[in-house]
Amino acid sequence: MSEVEVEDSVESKQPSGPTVSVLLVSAREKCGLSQKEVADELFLTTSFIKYIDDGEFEKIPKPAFIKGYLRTYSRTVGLDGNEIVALYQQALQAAEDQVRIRDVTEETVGSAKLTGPVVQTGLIGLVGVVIVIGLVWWIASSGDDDEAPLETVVPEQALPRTSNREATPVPEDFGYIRQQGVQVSEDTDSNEGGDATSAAGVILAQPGAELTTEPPRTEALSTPEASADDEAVLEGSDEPGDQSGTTSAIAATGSLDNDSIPVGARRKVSIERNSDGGLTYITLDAGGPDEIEMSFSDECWLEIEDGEGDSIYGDLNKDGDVLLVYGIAPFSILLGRATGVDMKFNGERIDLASVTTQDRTAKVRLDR
Amino acid sequence: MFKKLRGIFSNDLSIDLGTANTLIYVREKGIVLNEPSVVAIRNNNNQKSVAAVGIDAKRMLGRTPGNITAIRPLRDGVIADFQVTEKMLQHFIKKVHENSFIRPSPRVLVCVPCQSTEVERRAIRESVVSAGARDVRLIEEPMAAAIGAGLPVHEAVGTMVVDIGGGTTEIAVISLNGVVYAQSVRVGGDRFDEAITAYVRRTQGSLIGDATAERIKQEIGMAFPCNEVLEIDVRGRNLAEGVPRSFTLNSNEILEALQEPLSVIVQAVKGALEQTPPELASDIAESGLVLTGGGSLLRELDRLLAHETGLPVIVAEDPLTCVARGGGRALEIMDDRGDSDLLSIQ
Repeated sequence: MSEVEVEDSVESKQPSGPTVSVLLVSAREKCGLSQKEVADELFLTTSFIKYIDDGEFEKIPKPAFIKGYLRTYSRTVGLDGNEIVALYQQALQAAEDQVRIRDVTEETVGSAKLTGPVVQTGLIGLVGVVIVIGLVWWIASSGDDDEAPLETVVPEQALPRTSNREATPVPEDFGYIRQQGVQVSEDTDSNEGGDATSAAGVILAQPGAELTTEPPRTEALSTPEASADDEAVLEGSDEPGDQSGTTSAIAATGSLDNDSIPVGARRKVSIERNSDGGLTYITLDAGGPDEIEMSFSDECWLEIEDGEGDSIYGDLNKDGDVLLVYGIAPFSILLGRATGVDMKFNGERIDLASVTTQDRTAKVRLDR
Repeated sequence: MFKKLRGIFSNDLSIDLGTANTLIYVREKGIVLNEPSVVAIRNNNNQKSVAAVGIDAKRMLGRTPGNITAIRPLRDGVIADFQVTEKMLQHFIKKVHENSFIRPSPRVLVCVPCQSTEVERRAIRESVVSAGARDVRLIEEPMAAAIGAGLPVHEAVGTMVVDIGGGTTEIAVISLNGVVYAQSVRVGGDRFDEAITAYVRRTQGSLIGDATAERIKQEIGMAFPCNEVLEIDVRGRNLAEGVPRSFTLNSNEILEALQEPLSVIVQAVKGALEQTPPELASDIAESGLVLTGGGSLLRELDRLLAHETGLPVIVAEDPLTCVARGGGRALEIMDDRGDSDLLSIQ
């Protein structure tokens, strides 16, 4: 393609409508404003307005300001600033394309030295190197500690003390519990005689737990059933890793108070979501004969604890959600915005208005 | 070593860690994240964990039971809650590397207010490192804003930038890749909202929330008298009766409400002009000053400043993202020239 042909094709792409300058000048004249008056209104020099009116944008000293001037000028003469700037940008783009195509036609052909086989060999080599690096990283990073929970500081000196008391070292994967344990031990630090700062020791020292110094059973952390349960219930949580780590670990000790278990851990809870028209049906099956039906007409935070003391649900529900829960009564239910919820328990409507507090939250206990 | 290795698979980021919004710019991709700087914390038996971050957390505001609290970890452009900021950054960095199966370890450039103290800068640096960055650089916000607005910062010509953010307003005169004069006032979009809330309480006897105040500002907020009068219907809790009541506000009332915070900004701009060396002042007088940041989207703010200073005032293209885009461009300049001192990057 010859250069003349290229130029022709570029020119044909240029905006065919009136240019920015023509639009501005005609609008200014319609408003009965002179260049001087517009310049005074915008606190610009008359020469700038003259350059814009004549389309000589290259004469304006700082090109970065042109769009701003065009916008304020348009507003003064009653035009839409965005349209004018878009038109200007279009013209600018067309001019740039023209320059670029001219550059390409002037380039010498045949400067590319990377031919097929060279690229192919290089790519294969690169992929090989990446795989090796990936493997090395994978092996090395599996030993990395997980993120620590908020407000958990591990004093350096706490760990050696642990090893003095414990014959069995705390496994690496149990980092979260070890740190949590140390945090609790800070409160009881003054009790020098009896401070058991080992992982299992302190975790089990919570209310309702047996005081043994048995090392934690780490195999519980990798139990697939436990982690699947967590994922089902902890939908929407930002750090399922942290949560599930805690949950599984506490479940492993097997002797903790129910209150200390965060969200559903021990039983299989299944959640199904189906959308039909504007409604979203959420069915939560926690294995029980009792049924709760909730229809949401507003956003509302919801937490449900079943008769066995397990938190089986905790999520933010939206307007149009219909939640069906099957589980074992009595249920303890916490509603963040009770005014937007219609509730039925085993087919019977529950009056929430009587239990709703001033801040629109409500705590309900449903029993047969 | 592994951090460096992970860095190969991470993108360089520029973060505008703002009081109201956090923006992340990724090289060659543009703005990939623009979310409110809000974190919802769940408190379970004194064990705190993050319930939601960003837009999800903001959605929860005012609709949660007692054990979840929504926190804005930044105040006046600097970190107010170190740990929560770290968690928030961790979440955001992970979010922009969603497709990557390797834990990201990017190089990060963070924009900081120009009058932040060494302690505040160190807090930001450490927070970003803890969030997983392998290398942290800091750039002053007005410099990033000027680069993002496409101003000729490298030339020997004076340019004035006024960056009105959520918590602070930064005013800087820039020439030859350096900040000649900078001033920061702790007035921004949040103060506008507070002023509207106070005005409504005073004149209508009703209490409105932050979100409503922000909506009023965005829909009918005005900084300079205009022929067109806009109106909005608002619902608030009547203080005398204690029940929600509906009332109408117009843009002239909001203009009156915003007088106090706006006068602080005007005074700061005038003060900066007084302190500017004469040669640079003449450059600014010729081409004008540039407004960036979300605050500059307030209607007629440019006209107010133009009438108060007698100088041309323009609003930058896409002012909300100027700082983040400028930070990203600064990273590119830094790489191209291999000189981090060039843009007063620390």
